[in-house]
Amino acid sequence: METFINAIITLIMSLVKLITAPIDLLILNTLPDLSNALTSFADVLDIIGTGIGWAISLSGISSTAISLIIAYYTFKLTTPLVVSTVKLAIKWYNSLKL
Amino acid sequence: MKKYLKIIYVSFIFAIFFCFGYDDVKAYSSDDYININYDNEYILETLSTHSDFVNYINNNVISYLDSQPYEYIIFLGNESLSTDELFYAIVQKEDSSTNFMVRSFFYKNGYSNGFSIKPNNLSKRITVFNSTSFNNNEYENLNFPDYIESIDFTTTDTWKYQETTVGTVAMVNNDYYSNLNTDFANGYFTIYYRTNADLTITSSGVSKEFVPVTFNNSEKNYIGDKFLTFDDVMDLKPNLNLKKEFTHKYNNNTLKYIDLYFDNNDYGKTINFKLDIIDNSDYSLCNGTSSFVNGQSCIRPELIRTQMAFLEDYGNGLYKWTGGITLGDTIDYTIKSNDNGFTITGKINLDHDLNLFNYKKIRVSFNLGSAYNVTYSYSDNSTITSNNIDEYYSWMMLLEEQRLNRIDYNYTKYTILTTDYETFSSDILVEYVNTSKYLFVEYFDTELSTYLQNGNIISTPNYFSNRDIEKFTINIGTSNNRGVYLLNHLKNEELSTSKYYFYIPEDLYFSQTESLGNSIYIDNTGANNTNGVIAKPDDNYEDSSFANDFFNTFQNNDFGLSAVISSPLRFIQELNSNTCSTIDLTLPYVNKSLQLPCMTEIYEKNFGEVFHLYQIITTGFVAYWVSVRIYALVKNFKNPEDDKIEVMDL
Repeated sequence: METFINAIITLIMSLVKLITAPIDLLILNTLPDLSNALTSFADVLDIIGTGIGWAISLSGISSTAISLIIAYYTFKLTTPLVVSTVKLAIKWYNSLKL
Repeated sequence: MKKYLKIIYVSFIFAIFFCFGYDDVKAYSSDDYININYDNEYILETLSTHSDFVNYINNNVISYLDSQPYEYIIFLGNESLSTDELFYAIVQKEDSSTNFMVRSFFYKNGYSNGFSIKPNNLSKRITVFNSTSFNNNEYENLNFPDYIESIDFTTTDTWKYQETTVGTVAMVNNDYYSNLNTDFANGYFTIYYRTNADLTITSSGVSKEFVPVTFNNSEKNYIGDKFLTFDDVMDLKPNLNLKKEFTHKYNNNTLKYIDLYFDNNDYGKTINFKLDIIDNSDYSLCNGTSSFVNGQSCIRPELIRTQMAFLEDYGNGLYKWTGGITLGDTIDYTIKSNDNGFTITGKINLDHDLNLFNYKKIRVSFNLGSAYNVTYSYSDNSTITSNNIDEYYSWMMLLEEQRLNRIDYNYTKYTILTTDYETFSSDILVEYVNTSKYLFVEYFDTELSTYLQNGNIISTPNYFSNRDIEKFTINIGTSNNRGVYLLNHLKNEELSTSKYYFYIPEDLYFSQTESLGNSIYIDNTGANNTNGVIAKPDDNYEDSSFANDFFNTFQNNDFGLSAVISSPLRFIQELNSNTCSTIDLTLPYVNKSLQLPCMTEIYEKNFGEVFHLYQIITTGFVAYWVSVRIYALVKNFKNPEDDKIEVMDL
């Protein structure tokens, strides 16, 4: 389960990067300060993430419940992208068919 | 004036004692003293008696020296005289007066006098005469005692002279104890002292008609004498000053060395030190067989060895740490373990070898083996202060030998430098052979094994071109989890003989030179980075062949917009793989360490079934909530107009 979720997340992150790479590079080269600001924002989330294990321990929530929450958010953040991609492919196919 | 005559008088006796007492100790030539950079040297006439000397000093020298700098070496006699007729003296002018003190004498070729040649250190010296073999009348008449011991109360010397020795210093509860061991230990001793330190000396085991004597701070800066007797123990308590405190947190790297640094002014001393090491690791999870549990080292730190190194001047602004010798007799220490670490107390002798004066600085390293989570502090009585201690870490210099050799052409190649030092600032030389290409220095995170390509780490890459030899400085270390890439780009038209030679300090580790195409270094996502390392764009770069590499060198984009968008996913990934580990926090201002333990075990221990019931209920609520939300999500999929992709939302 854990490996599966990691694989899905890695796949989705790669897709996201594929879409945002040119924009990122433009920001980096034309607005470096904005790039730094955005990165710093993400770094804050990363820092918070390092203490999440302890926070979960503090809440006393069972590992089963945590797995459910993780699975839900994985589903929520990944499936729409896949569905959307399928829809996009169908649209392209229909356009080409015409 | 009478007082100072007495001072000179007494000091003169010291010298004569030394001359007769130390035949078995290394002799120093007069050159040893001439070469210690004292500008004021005076050749005086031969003086055959102590009275002559005192008179000569008062009548001819002091009046002249009054306008001179603080300290002097006076040569009595000249080179043509026989050795028995020649004396040297160190004379010091008092800070706020025209008075002078004779601080020490040296007898030409007259054997070691027990002092080091550094006059600054003589100011805290106490000389003990075994008075069983002489009395005041005798030394008034220049009859010398048979036994003499010299004690430097910045520490305690351990030279052994005939039957009288001063024992090893031991420190208990920050008090120093030393034994005076002699056949006459229960006799009378006259202590002549002079100190400019906050020094308290008390004697114990006092017998006969004399009472214990305490030399307190009010008497410092004066030479005085106390006549006391004691059996065999003296309590000595020099001041130790806190020099450094540092906390090393687990980052896959062990804190290999704790370094103590000493400056020129410390030569000739014996340094007392106290090193407190607190082990912050939690070993409760360790089962005794694993080295690591949940990222927590189960190997306790211990003192593996001690080493001393010397900073040597190689000219042209280059320095090198040499030696790395294991400390033998130079260090004397004891280790006392406590509940959460251990304390090392002892002394380091820097007074045994005049060759030390050839070096700029001394470094003493304590190798702690596997110290992953430790806080240490150390105190000593060296001249290094807590304010300037860190600058000594920058004296990490260059090796003579070549440490890296980058031969291949047609490739962009890199190597990685890392170090065990908490902070490390060093110069590195690069020599270009048959090449005019460029070298970049990029930083990466040693803890996460990720490449720090953000401009806020290093604003511009170090950049060299068209030079035969370049020198640049890197700043890395375990305390900020930074390693360094040395990255070069070679042109296609470079000759096969093109080379880069690197000269790096021995304290750095380096990977073998790698072609970027074969890099196995991982990027922020944890995926193998098969594209190599991105070279930071440089506005000054004029090579047209590089201008088209805008996308070719693109490697990863864990920054900017992508970083923000993918943050929730990374958060989930973190959530998915993370297990609880104890959090260590250092509270600001009070500088105390606060540990937040994992609570699950504590809950189970204290609440038992109630806790399990709580978990079942919360799991039920979560499961219900998840079911409802997933149903809503699936329902939305049926809506053909809903193109919302949440993962792309900021």
